[in-house]
Amino acid sequence: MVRLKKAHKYFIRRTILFVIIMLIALFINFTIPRFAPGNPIGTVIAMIERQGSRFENIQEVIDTYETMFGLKGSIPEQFVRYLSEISKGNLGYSIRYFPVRVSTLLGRALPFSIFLLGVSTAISWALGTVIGLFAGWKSESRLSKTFSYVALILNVVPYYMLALVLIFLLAYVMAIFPFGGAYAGTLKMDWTSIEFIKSLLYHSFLPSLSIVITSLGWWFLSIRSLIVDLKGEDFILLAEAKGLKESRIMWKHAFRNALLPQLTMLALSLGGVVNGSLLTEMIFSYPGLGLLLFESIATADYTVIQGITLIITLSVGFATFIIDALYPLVDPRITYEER
Amino acid sequence: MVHAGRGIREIFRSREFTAGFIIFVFLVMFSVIGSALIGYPPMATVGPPNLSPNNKYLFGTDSFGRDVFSQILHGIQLSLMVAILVSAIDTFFGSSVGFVAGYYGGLVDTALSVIVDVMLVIPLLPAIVLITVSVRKVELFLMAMILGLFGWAAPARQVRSQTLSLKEREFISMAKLSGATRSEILFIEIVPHMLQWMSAHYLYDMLWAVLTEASVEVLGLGPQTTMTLGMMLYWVIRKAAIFRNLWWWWTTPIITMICLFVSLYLMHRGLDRIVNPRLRGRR
Amino acid sequence: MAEALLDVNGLTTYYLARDAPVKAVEDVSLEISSNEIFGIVGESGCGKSTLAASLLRLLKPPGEIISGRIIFDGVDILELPLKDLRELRWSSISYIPQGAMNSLDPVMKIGDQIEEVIKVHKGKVPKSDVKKRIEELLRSVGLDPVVVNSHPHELSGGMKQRAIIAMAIALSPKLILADEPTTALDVVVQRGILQLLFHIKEQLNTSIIQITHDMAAQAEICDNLAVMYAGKIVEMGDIRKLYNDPLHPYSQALISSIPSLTEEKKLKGLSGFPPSLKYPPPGCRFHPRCPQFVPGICDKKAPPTIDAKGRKVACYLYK
Repeated sequence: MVRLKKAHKYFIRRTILFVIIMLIALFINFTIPRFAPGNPIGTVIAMIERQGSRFENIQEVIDTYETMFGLKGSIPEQFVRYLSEISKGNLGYSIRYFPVRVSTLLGRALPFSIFLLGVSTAISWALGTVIGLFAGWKSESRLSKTFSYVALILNVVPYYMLALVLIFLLAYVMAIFPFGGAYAGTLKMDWTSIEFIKSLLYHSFLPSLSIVITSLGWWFLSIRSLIVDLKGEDFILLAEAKGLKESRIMWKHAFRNALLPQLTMLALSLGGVVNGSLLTEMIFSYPGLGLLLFESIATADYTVIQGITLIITLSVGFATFIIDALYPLVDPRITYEER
Repeated sequence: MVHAGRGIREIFRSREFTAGFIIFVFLVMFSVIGSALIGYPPMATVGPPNLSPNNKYLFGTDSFGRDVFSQILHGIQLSLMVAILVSAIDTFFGSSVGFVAGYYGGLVDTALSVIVDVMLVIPLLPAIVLITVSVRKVELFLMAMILGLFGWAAPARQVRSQTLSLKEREFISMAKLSGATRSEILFIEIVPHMLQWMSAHYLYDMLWAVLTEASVEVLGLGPQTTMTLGMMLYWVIRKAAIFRNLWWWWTTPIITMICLFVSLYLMHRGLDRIVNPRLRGRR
Repeated sequence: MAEALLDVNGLTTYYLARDAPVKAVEDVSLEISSNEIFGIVGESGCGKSTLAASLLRLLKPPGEIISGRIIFDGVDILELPLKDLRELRWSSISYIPQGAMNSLDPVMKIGDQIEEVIKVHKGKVPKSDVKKRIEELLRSVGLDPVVVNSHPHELSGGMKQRAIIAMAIALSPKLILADEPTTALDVVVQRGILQLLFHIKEQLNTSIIQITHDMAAQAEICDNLAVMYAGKIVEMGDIRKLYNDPLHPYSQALISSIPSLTEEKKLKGLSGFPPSLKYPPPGCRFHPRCPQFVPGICDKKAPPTIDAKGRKVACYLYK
């Protein structure tokens, strides 16, 4: 009974903290473009007029814009209106591709990013964990130590650098893989067609590979040190005294105990993974959020940039919050103490 | 001061640190001596574009006709300057905030902690992108300021928790001493600790600064008037240097940057090993 | 005389180091019969845990068995191939390590951990039989079978100890090595555990080696006792005779340090510190602290182990 009460208090604290932090982040997201020189609406209107004002509901559009960017009313009022627009899913219109909505652009790019990120991270984590398990268990061997040094160096190399090298080697020199894009230009985006899926996988191989190789080191090193620590624990000694085979001890006892922290690390590293993959996408012209960001920077499309940063802030913040809140539930040994 | 001498010797006993240090010193020497001896202004068009390495231009020229070798030399210096500046801001400012929060506790602590948490949650790259885009013209100094803005939260948090635990420990034994000496002794206990920790963290921050600066620049958000290593990569991508087989232009910044990253990382890890076990031992 | 269940002959175990090895166990010989509780007593660091670990070849590098023979039930453990050693472990000899509280896997349920030994050693056993056996085991050590579904951190220290004992008797081994089974438990719980161990010996015909520094715990249940000092056994024999008439000066000091509730006795301690096992004193390792030290004899050669008054002693005082 006492434990439950503590749990509730902890959860409520975390939620309140999350909401406050999110609000502040949104506020920052909201205010910064105001320091941008120039008038985005003016640009839009000029563009429309150049195109010959084909749209009847211009005034409505301008109004939405003015509302979102708060040229009407005081700042608190504007912020509140901004929040309400966001909650309705209205992120405004792209300046460059007017009148395409920001949410449309994001919606098109997001699945690709999630696919690339999700698959690469999963592979990298799984591979790194298994290799690291063996390296940790046999930590005295020369192979294990060599791997550690390599992993250490890989740790510091950013994804995109390896991406450039890989492009050079595998796409240019050896021409095995394509330079970029998400799928062959001749195909239409159809998730049910095998051709499409094959092309998708083929094109995402290199970007995925660069993410996998560079992030492997991190997972490898973390589980390796976990296992090295666990090896000296009493219950491992008892497992040996029980007459268990070494492989069984390594998998059923050592690995299982290292799994939870290793999983948590996966969850907590989301922020960093997002950052790195953005640049990788850019280099491979992979149509995810990264490429979109790059293009919008080049064309000064503020609204899209804002939309992207918003999505990333919200998703990373939310994911971190979920993990923070749920982790104590998963690990039976943790009490709801102040961290 | 005797402690300092002993400390330095111990630092160099760490193989990791020494290895990193050697690479680092090599880079610095290379850059300084190189630009003193050979050296064209990195931004000036000095020759025909896309020249492969030759006697006149050691690393060839880029697509603008600029000397790649000079760009590298200059780029190293710029990266280091930014890194040193940013870490100075982050480490000192962050540590101060953390210390104040931990030492005074109460409302001050809660308020500062909320700010720190917010800064930690905001994902780095999007935020920096947002700022640099909005500000339009980004110069190196400004970039250092922005990076500094985002980096102080992490040391603040760590210093805060260290201060808290130190406070707990000393408090009990301090109860016996007169109140007047309490703050004095806290300072004598905490400051040496902090200095050790701060120097290890300083290197980590330099690494972080160089990495983040590179990421931002590769996106194209770096300074336009000076050529940094990251900006070199940006232009490499823009001008499709890889596909045009201008290998001297894209391999040199990558190798240089990796050397820089690795050296900072090794030094940081070497120092970290020394700093941490001692802290653990004292607890 | 019954054939010895365990016959240790000249066991020597060192921890290898760059400068000099730590001579943790030096030329130790002992004999244990079936249905016997054998105690090994000594200060911390005298090598008793190393001795226990050596018996099952559970030493971690840099520990290494240098020489000796360990004959269990007619088989030399030191010569066993790994596969047979693993079979022998737990089914013939089980082990309750020091710090038994931490010897339970934190992420596994108690029931699963006991089931593991049964599965690995007995192979395919029908699930219901296993379940029944586990409940039976838990009840026999005084635990409510409901702990089958508990995780170690949900149990108290005493309960965890009982759980490990339940695991230790699961395969009805002939010998149990118990390394400090009651240390870190409060006195009331201690008594319960000791009685449980005694009960196990009686009912299951299992021999137990109890290793502890606690003289009182030894007195409670042991039949025979070996006194260990600095890696060597200095006296060994029937516990009652030993307690009433300790021969070796170290045993005498140990016995006299036990407070008595009945008589008024001056508590005598031993001066000095236990010696370094890297560079142990020449000759008898106890001589620097021995109140009956004879220069010229005790510091030259290590005293041989001889029979005296029905016990074994390693001291020049006796012939």
